[in-house]
Amino acid sequence: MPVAALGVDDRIVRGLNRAGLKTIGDVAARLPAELAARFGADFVFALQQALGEADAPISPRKPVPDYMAEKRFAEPVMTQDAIAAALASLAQVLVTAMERHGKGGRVFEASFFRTDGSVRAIAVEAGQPVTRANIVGRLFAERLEALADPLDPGFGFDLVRLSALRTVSVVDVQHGFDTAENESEDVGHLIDRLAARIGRRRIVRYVPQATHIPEYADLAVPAQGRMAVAQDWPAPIRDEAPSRPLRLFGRPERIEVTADFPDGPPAQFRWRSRLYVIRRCEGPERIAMEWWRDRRLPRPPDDAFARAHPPQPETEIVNIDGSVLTRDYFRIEDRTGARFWLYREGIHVREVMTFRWFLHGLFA
Amino acid sequence: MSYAEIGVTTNFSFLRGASHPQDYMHQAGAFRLDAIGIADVNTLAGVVRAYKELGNPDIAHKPKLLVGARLVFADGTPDILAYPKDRAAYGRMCQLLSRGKLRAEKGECLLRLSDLVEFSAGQLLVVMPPRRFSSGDLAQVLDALKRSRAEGVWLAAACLYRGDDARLLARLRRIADTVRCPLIATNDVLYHDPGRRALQDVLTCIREKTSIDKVGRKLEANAERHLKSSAEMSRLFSNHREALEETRRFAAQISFSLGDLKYQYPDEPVPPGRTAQQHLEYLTWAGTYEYFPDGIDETTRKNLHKELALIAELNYAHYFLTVHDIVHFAKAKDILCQGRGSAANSAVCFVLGITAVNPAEIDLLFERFISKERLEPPDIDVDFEHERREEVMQYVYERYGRHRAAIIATVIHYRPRSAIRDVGKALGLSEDVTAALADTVWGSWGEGYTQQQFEQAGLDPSSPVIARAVALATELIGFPRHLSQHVGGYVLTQDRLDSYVPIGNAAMDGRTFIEWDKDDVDALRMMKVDVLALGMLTCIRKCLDLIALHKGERHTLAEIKGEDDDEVYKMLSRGESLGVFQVESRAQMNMLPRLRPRTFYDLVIEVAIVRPGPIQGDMVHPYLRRRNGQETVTYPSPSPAHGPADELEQILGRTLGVPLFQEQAMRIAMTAAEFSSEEANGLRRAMATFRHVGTIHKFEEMMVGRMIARGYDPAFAKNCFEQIKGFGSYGFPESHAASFAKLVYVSSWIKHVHPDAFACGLLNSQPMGFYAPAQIVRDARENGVEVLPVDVSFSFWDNTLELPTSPASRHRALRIGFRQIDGFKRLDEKELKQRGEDDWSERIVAARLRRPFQSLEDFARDTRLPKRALLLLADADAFRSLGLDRRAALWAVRRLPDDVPLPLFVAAAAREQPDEAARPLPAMALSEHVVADYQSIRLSVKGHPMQFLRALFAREGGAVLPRRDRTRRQAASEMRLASCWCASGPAPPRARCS
Repeated sequence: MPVAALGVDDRIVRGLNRAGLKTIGDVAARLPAELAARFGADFVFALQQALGEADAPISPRKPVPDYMAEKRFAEPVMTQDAIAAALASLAQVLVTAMERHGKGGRVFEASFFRTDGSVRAIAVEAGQPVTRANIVGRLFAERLEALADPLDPGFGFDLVRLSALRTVSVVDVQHGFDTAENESEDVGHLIDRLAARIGRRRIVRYVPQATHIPEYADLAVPAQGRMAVAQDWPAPIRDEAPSRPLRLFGRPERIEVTADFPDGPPAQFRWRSRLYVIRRCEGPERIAMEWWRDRRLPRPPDDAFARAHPPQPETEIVNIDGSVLTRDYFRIEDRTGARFWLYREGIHVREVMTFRWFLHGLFA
Repeated sequence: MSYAEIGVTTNFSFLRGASHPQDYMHQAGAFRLDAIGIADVNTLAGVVRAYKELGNPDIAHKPKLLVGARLVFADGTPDILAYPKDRAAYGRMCQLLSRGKLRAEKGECLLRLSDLVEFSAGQLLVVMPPRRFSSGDLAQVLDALKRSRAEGVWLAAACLYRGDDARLLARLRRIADTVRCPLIATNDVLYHDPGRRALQDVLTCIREKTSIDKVGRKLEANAERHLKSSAEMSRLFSNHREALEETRRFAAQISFSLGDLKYQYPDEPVPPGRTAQQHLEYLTWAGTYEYFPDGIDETTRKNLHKELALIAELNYAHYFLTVHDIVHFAKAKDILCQGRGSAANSAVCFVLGITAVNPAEIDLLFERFISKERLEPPDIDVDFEHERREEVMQYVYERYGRHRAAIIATVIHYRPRSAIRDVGKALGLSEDVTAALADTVWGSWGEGYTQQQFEQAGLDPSSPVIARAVALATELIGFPRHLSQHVGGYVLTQDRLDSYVPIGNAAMDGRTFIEWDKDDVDALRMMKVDVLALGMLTCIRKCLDLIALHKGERHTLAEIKGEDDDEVYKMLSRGESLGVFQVESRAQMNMLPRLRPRTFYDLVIEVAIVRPGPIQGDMVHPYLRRRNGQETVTYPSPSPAHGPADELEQILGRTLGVPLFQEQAMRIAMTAAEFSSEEANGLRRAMATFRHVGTIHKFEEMMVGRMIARGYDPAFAKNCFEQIKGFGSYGFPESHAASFAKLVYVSSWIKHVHPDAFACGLLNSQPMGFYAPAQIVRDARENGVEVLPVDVSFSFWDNTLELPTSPASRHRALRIGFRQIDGFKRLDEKELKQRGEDDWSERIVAARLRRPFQSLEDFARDTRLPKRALLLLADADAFRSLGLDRRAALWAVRRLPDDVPLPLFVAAAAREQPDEAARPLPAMALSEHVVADYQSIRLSVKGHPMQFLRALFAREGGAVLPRRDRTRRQAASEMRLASCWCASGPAPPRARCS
């Protein structure tokens, strides 16, 4: 067999080959001392292993177990209260163990071993690492209560095991008296509880998206574990009215507008058959569409009115090169003081010769 | 009502501006703007291009060009546009930018408001309010500037369609009124046309190192930051007309133009009491005694008089003196040098020692290269030995001072590959697709991308994503990416250089370079001297030194010249040019036997003909046919109505009617296509830059069309133009070819007369040229040079010459040096200091001078080399003189202790090694030795790899023919080629036949 079959370092193989020792047999014929002086004792050991003269011990290893606590019952438990109490005490043990290593749990699983041998495992997830036993208990309580397929104790459970499937390092924070801080933590726990109860997809929050296009500037995502991103919204500027409306229509609505041609501000507009005379107006804020996207489909209407009044199918006007038209947004106040956000679609000459107008939202 | 745009950002604000300076000038001309102010971020790098473009006849209405910079501060001050009022203020601005650049890393500029205040005299300053600002802070900055010596302070106002434009303008109006400074309108321009928005977005992505999906609000919300017409601006500023009118007043206050930069030659080379011209004439006539010791002939005297008169008329004496000064230094230091370039092949340069080519010998006329019409400064590039060029550069700095001499810049442009790679990344294409796109354009220059290329790469060019990427990349090609220092172009001035142009740090420690490249410097008629490095000169220097050392002959470049048809030309005609300068490539080796050079001018042609220009223009074969008499020499001519039939004979006579040189093609354009000198200059510029900007096609129509109209053969016209395009990428004018031909002859002469010194010098100059050490050594042996293996008892670091073993040999023997051993590194001085040890090879040489080595243990103890070095030496089979072959030496070295022991313990350690029972290792076959030789030193003097395989191939059937048996090879009806390829070295151009 060639020397390379020994599985030793390439340099040694090359060295042996240069010395004309090309097979393991050639090498084995040399004195061990000769080899050790040149290629080290490790090589001689490897050679001896190959020749069956030395052992290569195998040490089996199991994966490091996670944090786990279990409780056996002499008498199988059956009642909700007993189960809850068992979980609470297990949670205490588990949390104490984790605390020692500075860990907090993100995913917990409780396994219920029935006397007849069947096992039911139920997991809960927390948005932030949990370090307090009562919270673990509370999460399981919510979960158990909301189970569509309730826990069936049968003839009772004789073993309950609680394990932390995913843990993260936590730094204990000294809590101040700042209410906001405590509140945010409380909100987190509330989200965890609600999520445990009605499902994590149902609890959403809006996160800002980095785009200039108003209707894509936010995105609903599951709220769990997203407390930290709350700060990402651009802070309102002092002494400056908001530039985006309080209520943004799911689908902009066509309006008829009287305005200076070609790109002056609007003077009055007709929306849902009513005429609004404009008193004050600011703009335009020109927003060009994102040229790198193939035309995005409008978001499905999510407010009741738009759902009730599906828009008439219209042929969408696009630019000659296929890109979507630029919009000029105006903030408007009418005679009654109501404020609107409307836009004109298309830039005169560069994109279109005639415009369409849309109402996109209401400020107040 | 007309206005002047003062806030233009070009693409020299890297990854910010999305239009070339030239684009803006055309657009501003079309809009008939009063003036346009280029203000790039902390740089003046783009202004010369804009200035030059004003000369373009396509711009009918020429706006006034305002030269300025957008100062971006490190201390939170809002951006300020600064425009110097006059030449003095311009100098101060250059100094301000230089200060900011010199205190920052390469490519950066670190400025503070206090710096601006210091250099503010004569500047017109425009404060650009940031997107969000506090009125108080802004007023404070304005106040501070108003208290400085600035010529005037303005507050900029822009309507960028951000929704609150009207309110913003009113607010700025109030601030301006409070601090009593005028409001000035600008559009804070990023591109010349709204169509560039997508490209600007992509640039933003590249700048922010992100992709278009993630970049978000860092992009502009719309496409409004383009250069706008007066009408559009007055609509936007209908409520603030005074801000618009202010732009014209602003422009009117500026009297500075780049044309005001009156360049002054440094007067160092001129001794006091003499004018430059007088001194040049003195040096010239003095030089004749040195170079023509027997007196000069009448033609040369006449040429010298004529050239001196032309130099006096064009006022170029300073230039020649400066080059002479540098060359003179090199000669004094014994550094070989050779001038080339348009002015280099003049009799004056010959007697000044700038070039070794005597123009009288090849009948090169000075006026052909220096023309009065071109009005460009003369161009002389000087090549120096590459290992010693640094000394020359240091001399230039010393002589003129760092404040007056600096290296010029090279603008690194986006090329097809880099453009598609960056655009692909910005558009979020996957690595695979981007790589595939980039690979399709490998090797193509500036022509954009063709449909076919993409199909070959398996990409669908009609897919919108790919199409978009390609369209954007095409726009991006030619954009400047960053500035880098030129290889050796210096600009020298009489007064401080930083009042002409900002100077910044280079990547290399202690190096500085200016912001302008060679075209910019030429356009402003500043003097530039090229101090270049040429490896072949190092090689020739080493060869000449070896010849002097071993044979006692001293030679100089100028003195080595041959007779027509001498043995050197015969050697070249046989295609034996391995290692020779310029003509050693496969293509050249092929060409040599066909062209059969017999005279020096034939070498000039040989050098020029195997170039992309003549090849692309299909000029090679016609020339060869005519030279070999297979075709009569005719000259294409126009129809009689349009001009004399022999108009091209004057241009093409020397090359048998076939245009081979760059300037011939140019002169054809001027004569046959009747280009005016302005058009010819345009063509020359397009040729030099068409890689970057695709303007050459305009000239194609013009030249080919006019030639056909004048009755020329369309095919000939087309080929002439193809050739010009070829020259565009690799121009080779006659004067360059002549300078190179000289080095071709010199290196061939050494190769022919002193093959030992040639091989030795060539090996010591590696890496260089086309060939691996194995091929050089083999070539030397074929020329009768004995080659001795590397050995610890005889070798030095370099390859050396020693007495041959057989007294019959005409040549010295070549001893392979330690430098050929792979991994046997020479430590440079810095490393030596760091490690506190000597160079390995020096230790070996020093130790063996003390006492010759007796054994391996002896060697290890005396040299105290680390084990790694011993292993390398053993593997290179360098212990033969100690009675150990490679295998035995390796076996013994491996046994030595790992680290270098302290000297005290060495003796003890050696004794402690018990004697081993002598059990010989298996003997190493010769074939193994040869393979190991190639692995270790990339060559073998023991045998050729093929000799061991020959028997094997013979068994395969068929005769194995020796390499040189060409006749039988041609006679064989069917042939199989065997080849072996040594992969450890640089791959030879083609596998060799055996």
